Amino acid sequence: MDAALLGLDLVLNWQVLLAVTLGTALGVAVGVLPGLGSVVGITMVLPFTLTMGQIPAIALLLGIYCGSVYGGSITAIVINTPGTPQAAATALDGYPMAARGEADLALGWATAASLAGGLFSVMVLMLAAPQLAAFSLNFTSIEYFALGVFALICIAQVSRGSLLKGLLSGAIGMFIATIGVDQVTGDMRFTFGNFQLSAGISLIPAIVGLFALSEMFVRVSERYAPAVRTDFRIGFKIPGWHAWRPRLLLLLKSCSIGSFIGALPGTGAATSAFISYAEAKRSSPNRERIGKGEPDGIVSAESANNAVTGSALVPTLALGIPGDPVTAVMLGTLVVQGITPGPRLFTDQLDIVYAIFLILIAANLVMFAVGALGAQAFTRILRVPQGLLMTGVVVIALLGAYGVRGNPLDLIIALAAGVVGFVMRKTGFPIAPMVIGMVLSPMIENALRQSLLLTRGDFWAFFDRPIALGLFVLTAFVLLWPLLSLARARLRGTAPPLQSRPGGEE
Amino acid sequence: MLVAARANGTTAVATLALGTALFLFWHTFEPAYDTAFAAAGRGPVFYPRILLAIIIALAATIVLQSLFQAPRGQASRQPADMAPDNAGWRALPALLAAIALTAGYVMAFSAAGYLLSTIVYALLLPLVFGHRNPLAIGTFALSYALATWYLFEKVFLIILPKSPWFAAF
Repeated sequence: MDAALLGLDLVLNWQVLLAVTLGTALGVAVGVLPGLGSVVGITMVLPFTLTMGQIPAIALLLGIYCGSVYGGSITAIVINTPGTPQAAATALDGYPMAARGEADLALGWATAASLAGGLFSVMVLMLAAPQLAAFSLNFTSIEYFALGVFALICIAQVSRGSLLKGLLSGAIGMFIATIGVDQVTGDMRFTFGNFQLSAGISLIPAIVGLFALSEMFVRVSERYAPAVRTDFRIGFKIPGWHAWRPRLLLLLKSCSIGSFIGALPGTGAATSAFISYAEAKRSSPNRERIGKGEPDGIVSAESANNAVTGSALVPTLALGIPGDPVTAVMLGTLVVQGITPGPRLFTDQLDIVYAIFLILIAANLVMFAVGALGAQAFTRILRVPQGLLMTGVVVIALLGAYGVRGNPLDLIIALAAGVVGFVMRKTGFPIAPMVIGMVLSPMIENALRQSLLLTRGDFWAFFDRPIALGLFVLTAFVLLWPLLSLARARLRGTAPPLQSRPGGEE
Repeated sequence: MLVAARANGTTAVATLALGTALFLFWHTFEPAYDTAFAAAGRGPVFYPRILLAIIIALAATIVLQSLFQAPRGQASRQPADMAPDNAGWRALPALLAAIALTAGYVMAFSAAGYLLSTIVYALLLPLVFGHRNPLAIGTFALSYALATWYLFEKVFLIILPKSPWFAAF
């Protein structure tokens, strides 16, 4: 209780409230713009967080996270172009509603469902994260090794593109993280005599390049594509209680799906929105109308994708293991701010944990207000010429890459990562596993080496521990799942082509 | 065409990864890494070797897979697929210009200072996007560079690189 009051005290000051308000508004703006997602939004404000206090910096990041997940729905509804992949399912019913003149009502459904999903996920975070953190105190390095490998395999599996490409991307990310000084022996690895590389490849410049710069290169390469329509007028209208009452069960189910999927590594808001949408299409009393402008479709997608925001932070805060690139960037920023996520955060800095819970609640409330008051204003951002917009994004993102260490090498790393990210996106290699690989690699390496010391070099002894064994079995299952699916489909005579999933950006 | 291009791109990326990983794997056997025998024989390149072996195996599999699938991809060539590809080729000079411009900006960031390099970059990059309003571009470049410089240098007190010609910026 004392920690909760201390957390409240940390949040109740003008800097935090301003940061969460501005962060959420900027997040909605970034979400509205097709192509720019939560990661680019967060990398854009990184330089600002460097001189901010811990709690205002967290407030800014969480505001952008919540705002950007919601913001994508505005363009999905109004112009049938989801601002973020998370809002793709929203367009299926939102746009038909807008087309028949109910854009204001569709936005009302989306905003209210997003608020419900966001608040539900905060409750999940508040209940699950401390339990998971307490449980993980039993973990040894062997469990952490198994968990790290499991998380990475999950992310490679669910990323767009083939499993092999996802695994290769993740392995390359893991290798990149080994460049520099070996933390155990102090030896230089793969620096080839370059002293500046001894500090390693920093995560933030790599993310700036892989996401922000590659997005700019992609847009330049698609400059002859048709332009997005920007001349429209919209309003905002909250549906009445009579409209909500028959949909409360659907809302609860969608929030639960979103929260559960969000806590799994790699899945994220886009996956949860589509699974929730599919479930609504299967079980809703109005399923015949879903896909033709039915509010059930919007409610299921929007509540599920926002329900991810809190639950994705469960493994990030409790175990220090990010579930997706967004939480990976947040993890990196928290470390820069002197906060080390993991089980000890819940014993040593419980006030900060409570402050994070409260900030998430505030961010969701601000998100609702911003959506209700400013949906029309945010769509005007689409009128900013792409050249000016992307220049602004790239300059501020590069400032973030430079500002973390003040090292010009980081700008070169960002540029190289930008070119690599562009090539990967154009050839269907997913970027997310590479980022998660970079984040998880030091933890996996330390855990592996410590575990081998514990077991005196006997790798088979890893399987003696039940939790680790369970995670290894899960990892094997996830890895073999495509083959099992293929075998089952062949038995039924409905085998899909080998490369059935399209590649592209996350 | 798009499928074939993607298959070729996949092959190229995987081949590059395979070649680089093979070289780095060979590099791990250099005498420089033999000096450390800490951690019960699992020295500095123990873990990277595992990763490189995985990369080699994965990249080789992708290369073989894409080579065997390439004829199938080419068989699906349709006239409708040509449009995005042609648009992509038309944009190639702009893409190369954007990469070169950003590389120049990254180099000039330290050499010429943040403010001057950002003004020039913000003047030129919109042109690469096909934006042709000199007044808007000029106003944007000056105001954006000055605003961000002032915000970071004077408000947030983050020291940005300075030019060798002016003491203030």
